[in-house]
Amino acid sequence: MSRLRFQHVFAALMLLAALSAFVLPPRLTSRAHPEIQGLFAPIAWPVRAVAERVMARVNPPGAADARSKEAIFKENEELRQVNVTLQSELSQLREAMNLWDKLGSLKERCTPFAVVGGDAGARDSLLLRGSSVEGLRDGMFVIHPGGVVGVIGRVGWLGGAQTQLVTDRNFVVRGAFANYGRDDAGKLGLRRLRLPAVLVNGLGNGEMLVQRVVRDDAVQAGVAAGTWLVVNDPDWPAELRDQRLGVVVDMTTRRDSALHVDVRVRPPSDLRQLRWVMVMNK
Amino acid sequence: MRWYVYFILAYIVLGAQVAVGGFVSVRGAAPNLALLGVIFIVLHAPRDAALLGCFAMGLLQDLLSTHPVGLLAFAYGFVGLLVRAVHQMMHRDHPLTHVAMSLLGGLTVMAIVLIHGWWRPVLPHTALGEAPALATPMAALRPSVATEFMRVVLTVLLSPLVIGLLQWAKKLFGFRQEYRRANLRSSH
Repeated sequence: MSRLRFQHVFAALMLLAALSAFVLPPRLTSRAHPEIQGLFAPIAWPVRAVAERVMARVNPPGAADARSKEAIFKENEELRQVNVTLQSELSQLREAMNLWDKLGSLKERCTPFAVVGGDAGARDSLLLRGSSVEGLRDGMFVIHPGGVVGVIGRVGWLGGAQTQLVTDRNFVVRGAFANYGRDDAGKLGLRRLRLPAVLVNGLGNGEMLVQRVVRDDAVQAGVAAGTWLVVNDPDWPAELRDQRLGVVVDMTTRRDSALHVDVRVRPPSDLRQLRWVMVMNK
Repeated sequence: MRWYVYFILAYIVLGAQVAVGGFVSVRGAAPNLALLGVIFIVLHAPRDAALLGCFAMGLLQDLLSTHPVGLLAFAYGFVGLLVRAVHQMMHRDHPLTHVAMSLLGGLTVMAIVLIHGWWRPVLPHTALGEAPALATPMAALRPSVATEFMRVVLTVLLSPLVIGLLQWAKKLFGFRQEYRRANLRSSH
C-alpha cells in the first residue's frame, strides 16, 4: 500500500471513529457492536483468580477495622447475646422478613454465572461467562446475596455478557431509604423510612449518589451512615422490590443549596470484585 | 511487523486489563495496560503498521468496555500520531523514553476522554433504557479529572516494567529497521 493511500485510509478510520464517539447517538453504534467479550475469558478468568488471591493476602477483608480490642470483645459479647435470642426466633423470623421470603422465591428464578472480568475502560461493568445460547438476554437483572448488582446490557452468542453495575455513571434506579431492625412492637424486619422515593444515580468508582434530598426531612426520618437504600422502582420486577442497593456512607450539604444534601451510598461489597452472580433469567 | 504476534499481544494485554481492573485500582482508577502496548508498538513498528496497530488496539478495548465505540480507537490513533512525531529524537529502548511517551500518551487519552465526557455527557437511563421522568432535570455525571489523572500516573509508573518486558520479546514482532533521520550533532 503506497504511503499516500495509507494516509487516506487512516484519516478515514480516524474520522469514522470520531463520528462514532462524538456525533452518532449510542443507540445506533451499539447495534453494530460485536460481542467479543467471551473470547477473552481464557486469559481473564485465571488472571482474575490470581489477582483475587493476591488481594486477599495483601488486603484481607476486615483489615480496615481500627477499633480497639476492648471494643471488639465487648461487641462480640453483645452479639453472642443477640445470637442466642435470634436462634429461638428463627422460624418466626422467616415469616416476618419480607426480604427473606422474596430472596427465597428469587433463588428459583436465578441462575448463577461466573464473572470473567471487569470493564476494559473506565466504567463500572462486569463481564459474565454466559451467552444468548445459555438464555441470557439484554435487560436481565443481576443480583448477589448482598443485593442488586446491575442489569445485563449486551449479550453475545460467542460468549460474554456485559453487565452494567448499579454504580456505573449511566445507571439510574428509584430507591427508598430503609432500616433493618426491630420496630416498636419488637418485630424484626425492613422498615421504610418516612421519605419520598428517591432517584439513585451511579457515581462510578463503586459508589452511588442520591441528589437533592431535603436535609431536615432526611435527618428527621433517621437517614444516617449505615441506613439501607433499597429498590423501589415500578419498572423493576416486583421480586426485586426492597432488594438492597447499598448503605449510606455520608451526607454532604450541596454548595448551591444549604437546605439540600447529596447522599453517598456504597454497596455492601465491591461489585467489581465479584466472582459469581445470579441472573434472573427464569 | 508480524500481525499474528501483535494480536497475541493485544489479546494478553486486554485480557489482563479486563481481569485486574477491579482489583488493582487507586481511587477508582486502574492502570491502562493497553496504552503501554500501544506505546511499545508505536516506538518500534514501521509507521503504517504502528498507526494501524494503535487504532486496532483502541477499537478492541472499546468493544470490551461500555465506552462509545470509536472513543479509544480515536484516542490511541491520535497518540500514535503524536508519539511518531517525536520518537525520532529519542532513544527507543531507554526507560525514560518509555516513561515520557507513556505520560504523553496518557495525558492525550485523558484529555480526549474528558472532552468526550464534557461534549457528550452520559445521561442516566433506567433499566428499561429510558431517561427518568423527573420534575427537575438530573445533571449528567461527567468523568472525574482526578480519577483520570490517577489512571495516567499508575500507567506511567508501570511503563518501565511493562514496556521493558515487551522489549525482551521485541524480536518476535519482526520489526523492520526503518530509516531514521541522522543526528546532525554526531555528524560533526
